[in-house]
Amino acid sequence: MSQLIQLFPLLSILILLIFGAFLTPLLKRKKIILKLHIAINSLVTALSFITLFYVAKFGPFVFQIGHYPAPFGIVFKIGPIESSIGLMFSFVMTMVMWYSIFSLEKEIKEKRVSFFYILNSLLLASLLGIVYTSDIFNGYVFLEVSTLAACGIIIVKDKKENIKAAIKYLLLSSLGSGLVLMGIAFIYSISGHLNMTYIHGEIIAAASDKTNLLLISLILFTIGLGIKSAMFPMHVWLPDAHTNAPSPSSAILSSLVIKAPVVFLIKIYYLVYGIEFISNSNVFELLLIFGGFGMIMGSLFARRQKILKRLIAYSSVAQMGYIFLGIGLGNELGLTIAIYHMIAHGLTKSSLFLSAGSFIEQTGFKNIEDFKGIGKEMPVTLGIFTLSALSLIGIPVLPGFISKWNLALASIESGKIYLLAIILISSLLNAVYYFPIIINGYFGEDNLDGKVFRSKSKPIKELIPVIILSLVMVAVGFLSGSVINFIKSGISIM
Amino acid sequence: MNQLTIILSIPFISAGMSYLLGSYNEKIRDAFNVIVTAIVFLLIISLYPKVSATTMEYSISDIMGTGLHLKMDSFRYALVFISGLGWFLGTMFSTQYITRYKNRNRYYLFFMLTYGFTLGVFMADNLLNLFTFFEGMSLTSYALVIHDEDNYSHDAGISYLSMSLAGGLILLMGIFLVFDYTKTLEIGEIGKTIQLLTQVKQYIIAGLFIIGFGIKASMFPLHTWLPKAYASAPAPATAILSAILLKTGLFGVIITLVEILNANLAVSYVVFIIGLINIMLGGIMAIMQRNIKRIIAYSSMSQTGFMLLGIGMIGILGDDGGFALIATLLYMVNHAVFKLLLFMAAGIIYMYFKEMSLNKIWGFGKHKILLKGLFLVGILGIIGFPGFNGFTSKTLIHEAILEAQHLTHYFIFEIAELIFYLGGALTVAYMLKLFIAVFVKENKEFQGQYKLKFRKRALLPLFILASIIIFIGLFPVYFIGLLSGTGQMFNYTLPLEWSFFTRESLMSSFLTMSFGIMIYTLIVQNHLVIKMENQMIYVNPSYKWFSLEDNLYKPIIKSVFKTLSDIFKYLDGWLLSTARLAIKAGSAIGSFDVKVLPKLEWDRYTIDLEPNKIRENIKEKVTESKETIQNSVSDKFNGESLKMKDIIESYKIKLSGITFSIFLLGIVIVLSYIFIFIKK
Repeated sequence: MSQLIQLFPLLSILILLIFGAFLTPLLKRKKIILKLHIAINSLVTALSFITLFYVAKFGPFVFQIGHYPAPFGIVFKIGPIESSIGLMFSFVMTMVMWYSIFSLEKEIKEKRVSFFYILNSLLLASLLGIVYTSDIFNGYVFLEVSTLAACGIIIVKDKKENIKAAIKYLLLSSLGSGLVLMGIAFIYSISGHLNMTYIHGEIIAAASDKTNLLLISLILFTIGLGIKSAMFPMHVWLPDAHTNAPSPSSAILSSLVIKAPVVFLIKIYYLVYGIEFISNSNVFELLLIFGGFGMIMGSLFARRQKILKRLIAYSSVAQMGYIFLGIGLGNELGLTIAIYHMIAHGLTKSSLFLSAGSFIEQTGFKNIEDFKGIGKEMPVTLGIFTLSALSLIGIPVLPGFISKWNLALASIESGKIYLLAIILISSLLNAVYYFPIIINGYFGEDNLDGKVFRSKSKPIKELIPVIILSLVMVAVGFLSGSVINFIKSGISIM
Repeated sequence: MNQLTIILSIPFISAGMSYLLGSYNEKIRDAFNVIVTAIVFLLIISLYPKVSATTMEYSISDIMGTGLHLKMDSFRYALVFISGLGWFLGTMFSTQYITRYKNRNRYYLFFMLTYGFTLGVFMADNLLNLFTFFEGMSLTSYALVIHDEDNYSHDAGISYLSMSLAGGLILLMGIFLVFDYTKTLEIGEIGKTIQLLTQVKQYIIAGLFIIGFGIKASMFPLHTWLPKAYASAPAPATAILSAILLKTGLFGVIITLVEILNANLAVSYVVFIIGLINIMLGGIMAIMQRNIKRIIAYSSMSQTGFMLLGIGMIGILGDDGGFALIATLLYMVNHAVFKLLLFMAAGIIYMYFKEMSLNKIWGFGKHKILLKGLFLVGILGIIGFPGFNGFTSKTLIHEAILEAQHLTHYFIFEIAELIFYLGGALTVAYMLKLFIAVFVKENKEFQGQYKLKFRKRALLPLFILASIIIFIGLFPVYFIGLLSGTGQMFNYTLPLEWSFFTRESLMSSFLTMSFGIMIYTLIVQNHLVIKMENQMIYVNPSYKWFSLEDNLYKPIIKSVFKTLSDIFKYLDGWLLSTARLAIKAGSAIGSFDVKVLPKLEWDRYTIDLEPNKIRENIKEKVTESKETIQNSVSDKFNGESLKMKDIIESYKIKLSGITFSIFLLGIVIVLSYIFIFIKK
């Protein structure tokens, strides 16, 4: 039995690739495609869930693909972090798929629908691969696949600005991949290995006389993966891509695609270079600078936006700043919270994008100004939006608050008190740009004038996936203690 | 699931279920609620063998912040037991009483929620849990206080809520301090480490805790919410408020004094003296009132005084404190029982007339034999008539006072004994006033049988309570046996034999009675009654007295608020004007005119290779461009000009282009390398 469960991570990737990506073009009827994909995604979620339970009960395990042992074959290392992030990815993807059944055709052409699903399967498979793998080159391949698939789900809408945004994303992202590849080349030339554990062994031996080479490769990794995960000054592709993509794609891009490179980066830091080398270099301070600026500047940019989805996209930049800040603190709690915030932000942002997508779909507007009084027309949807926004602002119990609180604790622990100010200012700014939307949506006589109660609201059936997402988000906040402990157990073995 | 968590969670779950059931069918909901409270009560009873053998503890980690820690020892058990009893009978009574009120469903929802939170308060073994449940209880019981939603009840509700919340915050402050100093929140653990602190810190903590809990316990001078809240809530809710919720405050004071502060002597004296004030003030106020509920409400305050007296004596008696503890606990149980009975009986009167003033309903109960009998049992209980439960606890408290006097020879205990008698006498007097007015006087208006407005089964809970009163009154020794586990719990030695019906105790009881009758005849009949058109009108002179709430608290709070708001308004204005200045400066910079010179057009000339011609060409061009520049400078005001804002905007568009992004990326990489290698 345990043999079988250890197979699950690979199995879920294979199922996604074979049935999701390669079988779908052979099918003609759209209904069958939809059902197939929902089934596949639910299956993958279930497999991830079982894996998570297995890890929680029996501890982390190593899975050798094709029974080739480590330095020769590819190895998956599944610990608490990998399994929980994997579960979050597959769960969010399933919910977005479910949501997209009802709304996708209103945004993209009918013949593109199956294309969209194929790309999504490919995307999820590659993202899971990035998270699970313990082989640095294997990770790079998955990274490339994910970039291409992500470009695909942006471009699926076939509009001029989509193509523009996708090209920008593609260019910058492949630049990032190039940097990562270069980093891998450096590392390989030093160590002669591609497996993370073995590279680490070699690096420790070579650390003293090849420091400069290692530092160069370290920066290459940081910047290369930073571009892919929208680290602050390299975020320029993100707002365009997230704004113009269809809403389900935006949700996926913002909650999954920019998270996977961070996991890869954490693995590279802690498994490849090791904490000793990393803390001797200044890379954590660099991350603190990028993260801190991202938190403030992302929010400042978001405040100026007039298009709703663009605002949410810029808010993603700020939220990624929290994650990088957490990593950059360099202590155990900081890293834990960075990972916790990935999960929290993944759940929150997806429900935020999906509810914003429903506004746009039902009203046809794009600008924030036009959504005044939307709370009367679509009370439930705005309620979900409000809940998620409150989480990002940092209202207690909701996960956003938990991460901010613990991040504050972690920065006190590491002795960098001034970071508290950044965290505070950033959450204040969050409130500044989210509250007007909510308040103008629900209140104000002028705003509500002439609006008919629930006139535009979606049928509840179509909102169920978003509601489930936000309920799970609240649960993650409510059970934060055990979630954080679980992640911590994963970090201590890293 | 542990038995404790089951008991604790049933009320919360059933609150929601009863709300859903109630919107479907009210009868089913009523039956459901009675059955649920009965089940909880039975579960509580079934705990007794376990609790008397050992202390039950149970904890769940990772919820409610610090984890939920529950504890059940015989001291807490007594309080949980009366809560179970109170809610069971209260629900039973509510099903009869609440029938014609509005928002019945809401009432039951909050009634059950309050039940859950109250059980939580009594079971919690962790200060943070205790605080959470305590606050929850305050909030949910607020909904019961304002149930009528008229002006009077909203006024009462504001008093109740604001004082409860203030108390909660003060308590929270205390909890913060305790956690800061002792690094633990477990109630049992704090007592061990708190002795290491300085005296001042201990007293500050004690003060914060006792104020926080004292508000719920209607301790002087924090009692102002009590008469209003009790008078405005529906009768079963008032019964619960007085019988059980009041005890949560006293419970808090007891654990503060005994478990946290290790029976600190000075704090004990403070509690003791506050108890004396409470007895007198409550008694004097009660005797003035004309509203039945207000009389019983102030009586609660006076009775609280007796219990505080007992609590104070726990510390004062030192090693014999167990005696006072048992006396107090017995008093708390007894008070719960007879107050439930009295408020429910008052509720039945209210069901007839929707009126509680003695001037309107005097003489009503002359021929209501059953109600009269039940009410009489309650009164005999509260005044401590031998053979009824109040007698037992009063006797014990009295003995404790005598012992304290014997131990210390302090003068204060002689005063205390005097006040004890006086308080008892006042109790007799106001209860006599109530009883004679309602049940003894003959009023022609109410002659003949009034049509019953309730079913006879509404009296069932009252019968149960009356029989408990008589049972405890007749067999106190047996009942003390049930409670005695508490004394051992705190390592107190208890007397081996308990004697109640001694000559001294009977004498003191009769002394109190006769004293009370004297007060009634001398003061109530002469000074509190006016004769008008051959009818007796009761007056309440205390209306004109100094009111703590209206004349002291409100003006103080208002003036503090006013000053603070003035200060902050000033700061606010200053901040705003600064911000406005900054914005203005920004927009001034943005709208700054920038002269854009027209681009010089360098046409491509075919250039001859002859040097002369080249020179000429150049000359020609120079003069040409000179002219353009001069023209543009002279046409300064006609030329093209751009605002600074537009320029910034145009750069922003350029910034987000692909080429520039790649350029930016390069800069970032270079800067990163510089950073990492320079700082190395």
